[in-house]
Amino acid sequence: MSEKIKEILGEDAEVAFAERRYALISEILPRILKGVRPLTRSDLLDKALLNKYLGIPIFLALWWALFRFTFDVSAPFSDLIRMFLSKLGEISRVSISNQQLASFVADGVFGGLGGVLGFLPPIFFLFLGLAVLEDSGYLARAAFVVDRIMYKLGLHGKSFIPMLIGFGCNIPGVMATRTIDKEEDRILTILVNPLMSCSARLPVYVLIGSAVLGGYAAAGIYSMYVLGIVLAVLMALLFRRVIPYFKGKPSPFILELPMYARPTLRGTFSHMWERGVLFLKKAGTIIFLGIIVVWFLSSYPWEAVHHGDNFLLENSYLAMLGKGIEPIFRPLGFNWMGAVALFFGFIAKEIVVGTFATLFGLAAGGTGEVIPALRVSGIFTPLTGLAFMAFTLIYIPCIATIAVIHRETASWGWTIFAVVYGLILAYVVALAIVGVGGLFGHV
Amino acid sequence: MRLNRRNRQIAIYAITLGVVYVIVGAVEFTSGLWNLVSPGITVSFLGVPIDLFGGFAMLVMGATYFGAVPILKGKHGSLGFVLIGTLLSAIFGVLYLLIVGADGFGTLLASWEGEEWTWEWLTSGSAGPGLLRPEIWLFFASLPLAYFALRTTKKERIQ
Amino acid sequence: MIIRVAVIGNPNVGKTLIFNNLTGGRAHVGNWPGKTVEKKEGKCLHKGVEMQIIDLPGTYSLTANSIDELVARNFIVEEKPDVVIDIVDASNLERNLYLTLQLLELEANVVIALNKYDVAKDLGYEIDVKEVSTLLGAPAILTVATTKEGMEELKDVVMGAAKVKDGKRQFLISYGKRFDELILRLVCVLQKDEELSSKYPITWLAIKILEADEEILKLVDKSPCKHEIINQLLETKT
Repeated sequence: MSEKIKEILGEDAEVAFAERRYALISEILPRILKGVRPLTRSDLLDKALLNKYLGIPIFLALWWALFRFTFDVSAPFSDLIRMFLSKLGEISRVSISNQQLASFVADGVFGGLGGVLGFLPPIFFLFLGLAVLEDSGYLARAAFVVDRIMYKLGLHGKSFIPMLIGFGCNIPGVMATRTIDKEEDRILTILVNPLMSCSARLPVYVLIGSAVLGGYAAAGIYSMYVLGIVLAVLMALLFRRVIPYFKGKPSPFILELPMYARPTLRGTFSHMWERGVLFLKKAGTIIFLGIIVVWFLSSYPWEAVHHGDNFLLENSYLAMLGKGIEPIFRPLGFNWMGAVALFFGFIAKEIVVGTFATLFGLAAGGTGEVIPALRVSGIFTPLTGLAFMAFTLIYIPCIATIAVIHRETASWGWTIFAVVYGLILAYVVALAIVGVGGLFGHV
Repeated sequence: MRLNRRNRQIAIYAITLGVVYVIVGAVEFTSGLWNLVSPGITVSFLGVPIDLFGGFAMLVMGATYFGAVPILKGKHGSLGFVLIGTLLSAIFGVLYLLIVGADGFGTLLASWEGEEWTWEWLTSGSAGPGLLRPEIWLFFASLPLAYFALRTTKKERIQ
Repeated sequence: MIIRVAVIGNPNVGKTLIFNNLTGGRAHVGNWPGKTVEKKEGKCLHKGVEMQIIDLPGTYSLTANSIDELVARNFIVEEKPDVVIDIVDASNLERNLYLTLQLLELEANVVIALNKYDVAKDLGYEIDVKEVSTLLGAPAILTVATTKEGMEELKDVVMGAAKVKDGKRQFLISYGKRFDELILRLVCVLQKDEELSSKYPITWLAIKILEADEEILKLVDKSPCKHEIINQLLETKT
């Protein structure tokens, strides 16, 4: 029946009523309220940050600074960790007598897991930057500014905060959608949340970026985040138009802007620490597990792989699996190693890195560090590397996120949809990157 | 009013900075764009770094400084643009300084691994021309502006 | 005689503090039936009269868009409390008054508590309390919940308001010629539905129909007057 009424009266009768009420308030206000509120410094700052035209460009610029910081300033710290761990790897290889155990410790633990831990600094730096942005009160402004556009594009304004949280990890991001009242808005936000590049994908970007993008590494990583946001918005628009369940405008929302505050050193560091520690815990458990699996599959059948003095990766179970799925990925320019890394990334995105680290560690006899090894191996060109990054961004959320999506939507239908559309979109986008880049003459 | 005169000076200072940011930013941005579209050709004007997003950021900062124009007409509320502009200048200035530092640290680590120590990182590295990077100098140039703008907006509750 | 008093307001206006001031901090907490929204109830004894205080969820308006708003709205409409205290943040009048207007349209027996008056004064504001009462047709008090200033007067005013509950004049907002006419027509039609007109304030119903309020439309859908309502609307289209 509401459709009929809207049809008769025109879409926005509700808005007309609200406007009239506000107009009445404006009439009443001068008669009951005297005195003017002086501008505070907070108001001044808001003038620029919330400005119709400058608000979003400033947001994008700050985001860029965040990434330069995350990537370029953390780089030597990552080097430090990797140097240290590879030394340990060498020592253990030499000192453990049992060959299989030696390989496990040197290549699996120090090579694979160590490879992942080498990406700890960017994660900490990212969280540090985010904590500063959040504690200063800026993020609420960013949410407000982005909301204006989001509302026009069909996403509920309250979506931005869960999406921002999704940048840390998609799981709390999905759970944060509980603040959205309308179920349709909520599910839509949940569906696009995984497109927010979570911190687990960062190691993959850093790996590929450092290996093949050279000086453009930070730019490549930044564009992944921007790509995620753009795709999220596009998908939301698309779903709203195409899927009947989502039809209709989202309800507007009111956001209270907190006062600006100078972020304290202690507060910021403790935020950063909290989130960084989560990564460490994850590393110690799921990622470690995944790496063990990868190590195992790439080292066995033992005799076939360790033939004499050579390490014949091609004979391993992993290679069999990889070669099997490789054809799907060939148009995108990924070889079987990339394919298999993506396959295991289903468990946790960091395992994509762990897989490469283990593989190269094994192949190079444990002395190779993963970034130069990847660069030298020539598996990725800058273009296909970028496509790979995009694929990692989009394809499917990690298994833990899928579980949370299922819990929050209480529906297998939506969960499966989330997985499937992710796969399709990832393939399409990666293909597009390779295709368009090819047109410009990139390889 | 004395307050008014100081604000005018602030506005002019800000707008001048804005012009410089926009010019340098435009160069960084377009050379970055050119580089992206026709790979292999690296065009660099007068040592200005080629940086697509960095150039974009500079353009944004320039535009923010231009937001100070209404101050000349007496709209003191626009001082907010000056505050944000200097804040952004500081953020990027410090950022590039940190990157140069990180490059130095990286060179140190490499020297532990056996590579030769050089001072190259001071003028060439992840931040383009290192310490010669325009954003760093513009940051220093913006410091006095920041000082004055903060002083003006401190005690006075501006109308 | 027990007076039933509901307390409502925007989030962060000091509603919880005022509720605690009124009930002496002793409250019974549960859930609204069938919902996950928290319900707080307490008692207040003032000059020999017992007041039952119910804390409604903090909302910015009373649309059908969220559970909080619906719970608050349904309580006022169905339980018809004797008094509704609308807690307004005096330092943020413009935004807070929106809810006040909606309460007045809902024909609730409103008492306005202009809270955080100290903050408003610091910001340089001065509020003409008498004008507020005159313009809105509801008694208004200045309060500072943190220092309990105005609490006793509030209780007095609430008691006084409870006595004149049914003698109140209707608060009408003009929505422009077109809508005002539509509202009148719908009111005429709705009066014929005994069930609806005895339970809900009719003018308010008419406005909600025009706003395409989902919950109200569900109700009207079951009404025998449904088609006549649609006819009235179609007539004015031309």
